[in-house]
Amino acid sequence: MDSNTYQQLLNTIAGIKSGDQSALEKLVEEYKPFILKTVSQICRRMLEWGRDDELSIGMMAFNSAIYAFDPDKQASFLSFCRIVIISRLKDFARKEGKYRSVYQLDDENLTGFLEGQAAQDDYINRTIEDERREELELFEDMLSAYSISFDDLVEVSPRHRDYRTTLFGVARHLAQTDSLMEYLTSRKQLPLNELEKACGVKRKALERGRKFIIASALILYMPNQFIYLRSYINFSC
Amino acid sequence: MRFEKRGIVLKIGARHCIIITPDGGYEKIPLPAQGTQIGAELVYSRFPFHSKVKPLLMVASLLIVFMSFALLRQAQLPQAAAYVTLDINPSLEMAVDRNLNVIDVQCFNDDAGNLIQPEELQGKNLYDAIAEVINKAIEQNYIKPGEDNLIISTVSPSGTEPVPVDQEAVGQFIENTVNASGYTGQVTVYSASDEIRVTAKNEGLSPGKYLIYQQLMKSGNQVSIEEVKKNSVRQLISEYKVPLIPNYKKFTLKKTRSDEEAEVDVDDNGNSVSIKDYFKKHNAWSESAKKQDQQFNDKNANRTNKSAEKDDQSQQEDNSMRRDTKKQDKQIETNKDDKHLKNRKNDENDGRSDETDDIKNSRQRGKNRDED
Repeated sequence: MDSNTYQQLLNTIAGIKSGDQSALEKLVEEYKPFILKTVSQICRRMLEWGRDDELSIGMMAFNSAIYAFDPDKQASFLSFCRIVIISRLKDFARKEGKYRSVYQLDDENLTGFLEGQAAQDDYINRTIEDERREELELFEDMLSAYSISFDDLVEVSPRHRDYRTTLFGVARHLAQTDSLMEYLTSRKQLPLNELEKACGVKRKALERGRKFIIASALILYMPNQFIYLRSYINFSC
Repeated sequence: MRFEKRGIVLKIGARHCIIITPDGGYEKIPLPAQGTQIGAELVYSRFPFHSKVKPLLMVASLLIVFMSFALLRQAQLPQAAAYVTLDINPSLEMAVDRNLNVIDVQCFNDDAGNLIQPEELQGKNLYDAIAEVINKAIEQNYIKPGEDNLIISTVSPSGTEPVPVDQEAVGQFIENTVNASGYTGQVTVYSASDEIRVTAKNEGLSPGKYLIYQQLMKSGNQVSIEEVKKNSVRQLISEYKVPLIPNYKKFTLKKTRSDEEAEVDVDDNGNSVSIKDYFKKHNAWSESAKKQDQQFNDKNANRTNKSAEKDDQSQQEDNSMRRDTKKQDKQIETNKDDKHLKNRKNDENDGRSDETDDIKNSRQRGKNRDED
């Protein structure tokens, strides 16, 4: 199955190279979380679209990588992208000389970074699905620490949009308040009293949506760990 | 589509998989046939029916939508209470509802189509619409200065309801409208039965023009439908010199044998007579008409009297015979002209369609006396 999706990716790239503009837009949109993750990893901090120029550089680099990619010459698309992105970011840092200290883009670290990744990539022909899968496996792991399974989440998932919005509000408040998150991670339980007071939601509703709140809060609290999830889900609706 | 959802696969089971949707919800959906992997995005439809039923349902729902539209339209369409036609040269018919508002307009010739657009008159009160047509006709020179303009109008019922349109009011109104612009003209309003209206339509004529056509034919002329359609009523009358049956008469369609052309009858003081008979009784015939009639009657020498002329003494006889034969067979006429027609000359019919019968008769009588 991996080879299937990888083949699909190669086909898409071939299509883009022969002028399919909409396929290009779609691919860029799909890989935005990847670009975010890669650039953030390189810059060693969580970046934000629209705020940080580095992300635009990364986007343009990704664009070039698509056209420059040759499946016969380069082993894996994703590692090739990383190479191009890093090289563009280095050029950018050099030009904006005064910001160099902000970027810890010294060659040693980068080489290590690249090699490590490359090894993995070559082995399994990574695609974006693989990136996502790793993230989700991590998510599943983390949830099990709170005795939450995906099946549980299906059961408690709010059907009604209003109810869901309410719970999201709670999760957001929770994720933004370090003290509350600490309570959660250490005790593996929701700080119900504080949440009831702060969000105005009845204790009973909080208890019913407990698992959902925790899962959502985790995604919100660690955006760099769950880049794909965070990008995919619209928490404001 | 409401039933379409998407999500990223979180976990794969035997027959189901769990996905997380873009709005942050978690759902369990059947495993897709082609298989999938964790992290892949799936798009699925939640339709509980098999895909074969889906197109049927769509067709069914579309049908319902269309049918309800059709039903609604039926309910909304106002019913016509009467049909009023105008023939100058442009020939058009207006359908009006009970409140005399125009609900539909039909043009019977190109001139009418060029004169107005149906939408312009729709919704207007009948009289407003008539005024608009007349004024446009004046604008476009169908009604000319200094000439004997002639406008025919007919009023027909729709169904069995009484006609809400007053013939005389319409006739008067038309005349006033024409006069108001400084022109003169004659207005003739007829009442035509529903069958006449339909028959006329089948021939492509407005009822007014159809009645003209009938009158022309039955007074012995040969005209084509195309000619009647294209020309103005004034042209037709002046060319064929037919004195029109006067105003406010009522026309109906006579049921005849199927192999014959339907006969149009006119109500003559309570009696229903054929147009031909009416002409014979009240007007003079043209020379050609007389000749035609003679030829016709010569052929049928056995059934009728040979002589085309009659003197005064047989007048009464003629009248009674005429009434008798009328009952038997419409097409075969007695050629017993009454004294009014005896010495009638062709040129006396020129353009005097607006002469009253009395004047004509007295002139004729004068003539007779001269020749005696």
